[in-house]
Amino acid sequence: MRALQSVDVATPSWATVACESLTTVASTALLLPTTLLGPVAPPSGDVIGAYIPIMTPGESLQIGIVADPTSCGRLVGALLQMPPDEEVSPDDVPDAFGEIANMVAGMTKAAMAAVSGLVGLGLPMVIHGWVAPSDGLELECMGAEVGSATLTIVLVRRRTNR
Amino acid sequence: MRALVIDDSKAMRMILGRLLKEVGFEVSEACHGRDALDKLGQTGAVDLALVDWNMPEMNGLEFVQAVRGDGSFQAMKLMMVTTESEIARVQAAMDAGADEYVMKPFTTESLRDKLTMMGFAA
Repeated sequence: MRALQSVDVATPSWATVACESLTTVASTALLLPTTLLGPVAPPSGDVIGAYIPIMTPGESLQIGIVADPTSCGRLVGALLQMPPDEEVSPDDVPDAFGEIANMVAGMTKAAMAAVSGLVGLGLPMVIHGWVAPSDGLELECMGAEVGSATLTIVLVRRRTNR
Repeated sequence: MRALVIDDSKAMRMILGRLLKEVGFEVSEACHGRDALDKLGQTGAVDLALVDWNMPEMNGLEFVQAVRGDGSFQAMKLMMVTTESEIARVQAAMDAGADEYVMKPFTTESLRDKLTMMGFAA
């Protein structure tokens, strides 16, 4: 009988799982390919961010998707299955962009549930502009190209059980 | 056939409503569970309701519980369409009286398949 070997199973990071979730959402709901760009600098300039809160016993998180208005419009147009030459109404952007973030956060939450003991997913908030995290918050930014849109996945975390 | 799409996202109501119309439904919309109950009170039961989980005012699970607790809506088919994908959530919705459960993100084909399984063929 062979002895069982110990296997080092690394806990997946929130950022890794969020990127995988984005790839799935893009291929399923937006019908677009995704190229993951790895860690990037925090967003700057004219950007729109859709953020979803996730609460666990050990930490509070915000998962956000941040993009410039042009990329944002492209993502929303894809979600709404609009023809490429049709312009997205600015009124439709916040809600639809929030729904894309909601799907990414929902998939991320489900994938991390087993290791994090998750308790809740909040409702989306869409903000025009970049909100810099305050001291004590951990910030992680991952770049991605979805179709012809460039975006940043933003994770803001505050650990409550150190 | 009449359907009610209950979701706080206008975009999602538009996407789901478009698909249901293609299948042959007359579609109305509500932006949360309380709004949906009000609409059902005005129009009477629909054949099918697509229900999001996370909504303000009254969430999807509370809506399902309210509908199943009202004898006049027993024939309504309820399909959860939500990002909540843990088994415990699915079980809670089915225990409350949901007939089907679709996880976001979904493909048009998968939703059509579910509708066919529920007896709503195009």
